[in-house]
Amino acid sequence: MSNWPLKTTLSILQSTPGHEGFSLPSLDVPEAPAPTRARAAKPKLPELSELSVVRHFTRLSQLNFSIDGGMYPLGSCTMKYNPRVNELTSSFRGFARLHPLTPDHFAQGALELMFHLENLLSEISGFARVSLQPAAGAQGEYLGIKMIRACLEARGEKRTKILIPESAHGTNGASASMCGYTVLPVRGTEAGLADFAQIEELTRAGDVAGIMITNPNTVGLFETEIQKITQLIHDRGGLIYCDGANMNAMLGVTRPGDAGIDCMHFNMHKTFTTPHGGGGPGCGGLGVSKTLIPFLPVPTIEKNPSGADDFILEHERPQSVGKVKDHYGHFLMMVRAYTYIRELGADGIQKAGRDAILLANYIRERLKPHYDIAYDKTCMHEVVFSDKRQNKNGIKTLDIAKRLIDEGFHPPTIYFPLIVQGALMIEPTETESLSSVEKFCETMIKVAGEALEENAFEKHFKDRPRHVAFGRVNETLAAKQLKLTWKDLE
Amino acid sequence: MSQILKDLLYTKEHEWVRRTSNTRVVQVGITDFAQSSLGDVTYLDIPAVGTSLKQNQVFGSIESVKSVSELFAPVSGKIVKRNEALVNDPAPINASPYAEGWLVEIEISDESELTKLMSPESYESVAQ
Amino acid sequence: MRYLPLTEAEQKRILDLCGVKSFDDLKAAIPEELRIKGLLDLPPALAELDLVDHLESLANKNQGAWMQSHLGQGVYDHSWPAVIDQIINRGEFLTAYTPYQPELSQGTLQAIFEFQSMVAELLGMEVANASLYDGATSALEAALMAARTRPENEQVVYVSEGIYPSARKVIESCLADQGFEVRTWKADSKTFLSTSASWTGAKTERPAAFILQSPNKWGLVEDWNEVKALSDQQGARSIAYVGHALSLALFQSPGSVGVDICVAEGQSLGIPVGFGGPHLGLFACRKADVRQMPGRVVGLTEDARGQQAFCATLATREQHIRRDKATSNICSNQNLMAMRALMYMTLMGPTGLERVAKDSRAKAFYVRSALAKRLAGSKRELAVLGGDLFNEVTVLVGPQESLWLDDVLSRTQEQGVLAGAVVSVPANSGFVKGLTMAFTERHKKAELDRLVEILGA
Repeated sequence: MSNWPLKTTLSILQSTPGHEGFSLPSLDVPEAPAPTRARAAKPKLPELSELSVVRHFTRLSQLNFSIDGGMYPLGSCTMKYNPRVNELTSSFRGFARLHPLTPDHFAQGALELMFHLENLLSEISGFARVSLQPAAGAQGEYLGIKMIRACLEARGEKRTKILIPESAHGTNGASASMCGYTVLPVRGTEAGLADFAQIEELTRAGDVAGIMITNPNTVGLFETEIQKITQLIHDRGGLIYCDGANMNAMLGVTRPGDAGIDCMHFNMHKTFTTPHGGGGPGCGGLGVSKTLIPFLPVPTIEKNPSGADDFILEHERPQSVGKVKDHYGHFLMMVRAYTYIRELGADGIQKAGRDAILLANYIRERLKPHYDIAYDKTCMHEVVFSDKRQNKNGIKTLDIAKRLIDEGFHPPTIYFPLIVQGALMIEPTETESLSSVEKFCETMIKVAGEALEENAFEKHFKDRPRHVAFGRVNETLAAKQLKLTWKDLE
Repeated sequence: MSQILKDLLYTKEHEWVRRTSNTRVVQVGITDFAQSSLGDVTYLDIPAVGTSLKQNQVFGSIESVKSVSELFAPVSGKIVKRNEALVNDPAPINASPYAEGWLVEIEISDESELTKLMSPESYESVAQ
Repeated sequence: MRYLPLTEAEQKRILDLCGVKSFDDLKAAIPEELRIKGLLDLPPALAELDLVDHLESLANKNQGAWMQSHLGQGVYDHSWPAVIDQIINRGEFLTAYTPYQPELSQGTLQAIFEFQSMVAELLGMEVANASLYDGATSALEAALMAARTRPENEQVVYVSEGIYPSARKVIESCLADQGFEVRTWKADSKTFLSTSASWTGAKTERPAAFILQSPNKWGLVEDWNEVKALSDQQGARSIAYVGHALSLALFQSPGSVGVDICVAEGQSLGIPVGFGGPHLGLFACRKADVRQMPGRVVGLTEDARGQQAFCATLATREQHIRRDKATSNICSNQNLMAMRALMYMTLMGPTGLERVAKDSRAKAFYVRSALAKRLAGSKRELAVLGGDLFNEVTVLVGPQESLWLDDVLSRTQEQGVLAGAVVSVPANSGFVKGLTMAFTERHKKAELDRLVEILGA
């Protein structure tokens, strides 16, 4: 077993009293009096020199897989390349050192950027207006449901139920509950689409607030009957929320706002390249139809009706739902998304959607002969397979996933959506070259072959991964012993 | 092929019920099929002795690394005993779901509810 | 196009493999009337040089980023070591995904474990999560967690009067959806602190929680013992909301007095002001309550070869498993910001954190003394708020002095200074508004003297 990449012990164990990694000027004013209720003792944090800290984090970084290092074919995550010019623009002093409470007059560049970004997103998605306040997709969802609730209450309606397809992402149900709704699950049809007949039945009583739909859905298919669904829900006095996680398939192809959807959240960290950073921050956003405009969170960015400044923040909106996030949202992430959209322009946006769909269909055709495909139809930007075939020989989705790691790929999304047993959801994204996608397919085919052999598990799938710095990590032990800080090491 | 004992009664939520030497008390646990679907159990959440239950009401949950399942009361009554050992180490639920892995004992309030439970043969068709 | 490598020839190859003539055939599932015709109405593509010029010109319109700024209210323009920007931009940190496959993410996972440890230590608590969006939403989540662990209590949450207005708005907007009422825990009209004595509720009340923010919006340091005592008295859960994480380098931690749940805004730990985001929510609680804690959490374990390793754990609380019964709908943490804070705390160490905290506080005290001297002689209805503070100073404005306040704000702006935030004050304090000014180690003595000069004129 190799010593490389080099590891590094917990920083607290490398601490040496007196070492320091900072450089501060001497105080140029008198010292303040001692604090009342002072901290009893300095916090027990590591004392390290700058070089020790640099080595520590450099070594940690080398233990990570990343988009810069390899492909993540993760369905539903849209792991496209994070352009570096975005990092340059978001670091400009005019953005990074601007305080959120700066009077509008001195923040015109920021307000202009947000105003334009909202308009760009409106044009791309077909919504009347956009709010950039939500911190991430989950907050965007929550805001959407919150606005739907406010809209219905303004009409004097008190509906307590909301429909959610069984194939939906887990956040959908959680967001609905947070707004006080009860979730009514909707089955999918044999063809993998939302069951219109069931939606019709469940909404007959007129007590359903609406539906939370994902389009394209979580099995990668476009909901052809979307307009029929939105029409029905509207006729019955409800509203429609769309989960925008799969927006990448729609860029330049179709617009959710045109299909009658009332609100849809954006995942800027998926579709619009803001960096994943190991798990966040995300950057949400919510597109809304004309119906929901009065309920937008405050403040909104408006053109200045009079006076010298071009843009103002409007804090007083009588029907606003209030705030879901402190200040205005993840502004420095908005700068990145804006930079990306302006670089691509109309042509680039259209090519992005097109290439994403083409590459996903390439994967579908190449892998169909080897893996059971959940729905054998043209897919959008992602495709769902299952381990049905391999399972007959005792090889499961998890085994396939861990096997791929040794071949240099991050596994696809596994066990989601829940409606497909042993699901393997693959999304290449348009920033991958065809040759890199080909390599991925060839590897998947090789693994499918291994899975059919006699004694397959023993020969090929046991104890994976074998060739990375870490073997299979024991998740059961972690849950049982619950050691969550380094104090637990004593 | 998961194990199903012939002398127990079952629910469609994959729980088993065993009569004890005290005719008014039954012992309850989850089946072999349930423990195998869950994977390694990491945590058990069951209410205190003395808690009243209604048939089919949720009375606790069992967690594994990747999932959590609710526990549904197979009969109405009062909890008279908990398997305290499992709270610290739930491993017996996987290793021995019908013996050391028992969860609670319930003093039943309505005998007739036992007739609503499934026989081993009926349960077999559910536990696929 | 540099991020879109698929060539025309390659596109054709794919279409052939799929057995279709054109891309339109792949759109079969999309109704004709929903297909976009032609291009979207977006500006044309920009080459990198033009793109950067355009963004730079937008950035340069934000004069506020170059002014001498004393704006605070939970967001502080502290400095950080230059090396942080270098390491955080490594692709392995910037472009790594959520650590769902632990074998491929030990860098992120060990870092989060270290972050959790340092946050727990700073806050004086047993466990901390991998971070939430910001201080305000962390306080909201704490209130919801308190309510979950006290289901028999009333659906009421008390929030100290000194909480930042925008944080309060977030808490109110979101608690309302779940049927909660937010009430104000009034501050004493002389001391501007929220204490058991200043609380005006009835002894029979049993709210779910009391939230106390310190330092408060007037810059004063509250007493965590007060929130613990009042909560215990009323059978509620106590929540400490640390408005400025660095203050805990000097002041008593909430955990040390036994507060139940502790949250904080961690932006002051090496994270840019950034016009409001992304920032960093810290969340910590007791080990006994960990199953009710929202957000991602990383635990220690081993790998198959016996090596120390880390992985996300207790995922069963989270949305991807519990779905509509989840403790929260949160999916991400603020990982990149948590990494910045981790690097900051590792570089600064206990000594560096104390230095920055002490220096910021010294600047604030310096200005307060100077202003107090200036205002002592004047006949104006102005006063400087006394009491122990961290890094913000409040000038109290009497009913006759609104014009003075407007005048001071324009004069300071004309001279390139953003004097501070206008805040409301307790009723019966004798004043109508406050001007709260923040100070950090970045401010030089000359700038402080200038501020005092303009204000005292």
